[in-house]
Amino acid sequence: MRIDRSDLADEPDDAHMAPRRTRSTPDDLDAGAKDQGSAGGSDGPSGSSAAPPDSALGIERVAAYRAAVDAAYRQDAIDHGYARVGKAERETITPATRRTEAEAPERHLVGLDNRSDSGDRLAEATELEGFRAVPQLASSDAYHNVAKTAPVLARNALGLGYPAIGTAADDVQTGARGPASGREFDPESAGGPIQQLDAGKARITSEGVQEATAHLQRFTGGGALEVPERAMLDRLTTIAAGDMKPTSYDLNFYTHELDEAARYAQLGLGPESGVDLGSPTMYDVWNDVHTAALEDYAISGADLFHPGLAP
Amino acid sequence: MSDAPLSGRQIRLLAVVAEGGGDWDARRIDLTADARYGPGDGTVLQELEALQGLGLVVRDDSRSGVGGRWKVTANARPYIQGTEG
Repeated sequence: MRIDRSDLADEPDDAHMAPRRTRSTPDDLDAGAKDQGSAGGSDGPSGSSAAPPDSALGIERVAAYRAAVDAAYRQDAIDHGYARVGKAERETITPATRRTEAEAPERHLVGLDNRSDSGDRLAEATELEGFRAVPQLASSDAYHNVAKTAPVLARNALGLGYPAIGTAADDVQTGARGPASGREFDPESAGGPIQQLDAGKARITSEGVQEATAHLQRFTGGGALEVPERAMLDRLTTIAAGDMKPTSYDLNFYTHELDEAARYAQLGLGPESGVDLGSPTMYDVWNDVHTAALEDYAISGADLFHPGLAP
Repeated sequence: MSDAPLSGRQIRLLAVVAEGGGDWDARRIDLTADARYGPGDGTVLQELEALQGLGLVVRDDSRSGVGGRWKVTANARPYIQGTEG
């Protein structure tokens, strides 16, 4: 059990997270409004809007939004049969916990379809209410790991953590941690939804190797490829020529680079864009695209390079 | 600043940066750290920036390189035990 959203909704900083994630919860708000008659104290917007933190901050739009969200989440809490907790458990969540969850997704059914599976997972389900974009990444049940892409803390200029009170909503970034890669990324900025792909079905061709090479050269600024990448491309060239059987690493690397290139293109950053992917400012884009490409094939960074060639 | 307590993860990351000898960009450092040690709590760039705040690494944006190129400072030497490149 981690987070009680009804508590989070009481806090002004949570409201700052709304524009990117909770903005997509009109259904929740509608449900909350419809059910307010039976929710007892759930018609609490007026009460919550008078909470001192907001008054102190004078952020009227936050108060208004918070009230609506509060009602929705309070109703959701009631619907799911748990009481508001006295302390937001988000404060106790450690990165290690999240990493553990990513490594053992079967223990944490966080998808909306699973939100009532068990009492101790209600918090995750509720959390997903505020991060609806995440489960939309992969609706297929078959690709369960990706479907359970785990929402994580919002990120702001100070690093990981929940946004501070008074943080402008537009300054808040949110993301997710890929269950396969364990990496933090923003799936909404990764060039399309997470897919469920199988590298084992790929056939390594010389054309594909050329495309992968061209993609990787876009990171070099005209310089030489990194040694591990050059070595992997050499293996792929040999494989494409029929002189060697591919290993899982070869297939992973090959499909990953092609997938990554396609995701850049989806973002309008294909070769024709002329954008320098090796620019110092391009890390976040690369991280999002790279991680999404890992998630597409449900692999981690340790699965990309052949043993002995790993960076 | 060099006596700041560092996590094991931070020390390993420092060693990776040192291995690059100032030539590796954040992407290469990320790929290396991820392959060897797995992901960190945030992105590698965030981790590097945290180390930068401790005066243990510096960023060089004068050359092309995803997320800038990074190298360790003299303050990092006590932590990397001769792995500095």
